[in-house]
Amino acid sequence: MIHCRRSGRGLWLPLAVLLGATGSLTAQTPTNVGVRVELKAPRFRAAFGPRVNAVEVAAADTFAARLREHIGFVRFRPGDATAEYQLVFALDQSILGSTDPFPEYGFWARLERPDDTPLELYWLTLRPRELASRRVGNEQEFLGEVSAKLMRPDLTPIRRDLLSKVPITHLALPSDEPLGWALPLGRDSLCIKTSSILLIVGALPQGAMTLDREYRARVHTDGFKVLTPRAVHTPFLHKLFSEPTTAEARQELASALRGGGLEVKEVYVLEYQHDANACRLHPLDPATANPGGGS
Amino acid sequence: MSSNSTAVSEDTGLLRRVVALIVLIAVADLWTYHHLGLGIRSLVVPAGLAVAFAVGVKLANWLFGEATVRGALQPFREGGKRLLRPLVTRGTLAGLAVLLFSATLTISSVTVVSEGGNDTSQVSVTALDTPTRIKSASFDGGKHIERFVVTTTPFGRLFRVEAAGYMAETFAVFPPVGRHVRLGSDLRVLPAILFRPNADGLGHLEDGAVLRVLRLGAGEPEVLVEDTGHAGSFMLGRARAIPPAMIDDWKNELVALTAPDALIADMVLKWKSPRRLSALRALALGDNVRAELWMHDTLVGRGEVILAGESLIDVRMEGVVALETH
Repeated sequence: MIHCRRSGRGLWLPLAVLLGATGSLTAQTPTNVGVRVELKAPRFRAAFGPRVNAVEVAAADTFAARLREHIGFVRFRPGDATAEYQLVFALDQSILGSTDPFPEYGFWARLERPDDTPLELYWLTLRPRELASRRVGNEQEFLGEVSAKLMRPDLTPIRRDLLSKVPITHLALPSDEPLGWALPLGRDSLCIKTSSILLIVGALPQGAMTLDREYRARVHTDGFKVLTPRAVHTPFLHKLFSEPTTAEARQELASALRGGGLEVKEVYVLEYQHDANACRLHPLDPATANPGGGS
Repeated sequence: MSSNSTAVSEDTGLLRRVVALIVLIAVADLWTYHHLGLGIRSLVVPAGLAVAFAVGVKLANWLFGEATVRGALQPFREGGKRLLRPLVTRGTLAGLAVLLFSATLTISSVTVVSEGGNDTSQVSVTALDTPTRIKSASFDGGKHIERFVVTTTPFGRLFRVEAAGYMAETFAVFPPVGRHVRLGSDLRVLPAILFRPNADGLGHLEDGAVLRVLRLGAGEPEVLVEDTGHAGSFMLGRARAIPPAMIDDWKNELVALTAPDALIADMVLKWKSPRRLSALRALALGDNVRAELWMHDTLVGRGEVILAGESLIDVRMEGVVALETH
């Protein structure tokens, strides 16, 4: 984990050394999130029999493709078991463990996090109770039905309740001039509008203790710059810059910077505004965006 | 005088033997017609021809004189005598009689008569002492009678008669009359079983699931019939109309299970059009019959019933939690 310190006087040198040692800042990319689909309902598993795994893989490609169209602050990688964060879409009854003979079937979204409990929510209805007697269909028909359901998905719960728990980076530069946080990621790589809200989690030394602090920041500009750039600024120049959302937050940040030692641990996206144009102008690396080759 | 009496005696003997032969032939004809369905359908025609011939000879005698007629018929009489005398001997007749007697005492038949209509039931006859030798036939092509030639003894032999949709029965078959078995009276009609898959089952069937009906017993379950390609209910046994009261019960059942209206309509429509199944083996009252739904070698639905005296048994098939799929 790499942590940046403030860009104020005398404090950037250790960071510069650290940056030089890692040399990885220039290659900073958003967090990878593995995407998986699980057909948990026996009704659907039985319909595909020995092909169920292949259907799950194909469905994961579809989910990842749709997610990429609407969310850009993480990289969705279908079938990537190596990713620390896994977004799992499980097709199951809407009420788990229910004995309803005509259950509603839909997708549960579950975020699996390293060293933490998974977060789960019921997200998208696939088969309402009225269609309990309808056939599942063959693979193409099923995937077509899933794809149609994902044409206009309401991704708010996914973003708000799950992906907001995925750090987009562990690196940020607190800055006193301009006051805010610089990120080593550009708007084009995050597909994010300037009105989006970030949560920056940091650690602030207070005597012998370290306090965890959380700061809300609004994405302000895509062009972070300082009058006299130094090596510590290099990874952040012309990248995304965010400002505290309120006057109180500005004062709190300024105070923390004056005290010194503010260490950014993680940055999350709390309220995401998708900017399709930003991504269109700077397409994602195909190898990263679509490693499975799915649609 | 002596030669004339000898000739008359020979003629009389030949005539008796011919009459005996005719009687044997008539008995044999009746026997083969009864057991095999082959032979002269009615003896009235040959008997009528014989009577007509006798009356014709009498009339000719009256018109032309007996001597004239006798003279005209003499060549035919002589020819007939020459032909019949070596054939119709006492030994031949005795042999034929023994042969016919033996056949009537050991060969018989079981004749199964259908109830008519479009009955296409499969019928089989099995001697209980040789259960592996099964004779079977069906009433395809508008047939209403099926004969099974069987060997028996003068003291009778037990045969089991099975027909799809009827309760199997055992009969003793005695020579020479054999046994007539009427479907619907000698073999009582089995209750029909209506298997109704649940909502998931109907969907599985539409996806190509296989319905397998089994008879459960002490040993391995015996497959009675398999079917696929129909998303609805299945009726095992003779076709029967579904009573409106039963359909009302289905609706009430679905309402009680809080099924949405659209689903109730869909399921009742599918249940109302059963596919008729004929079991490969005959069933009997008390048989334990199970229907299973299989999808890709996974059991996904099941319904079970013990055959009882109702005319139509309604069996709701439930879903099966297929643990092996997890």
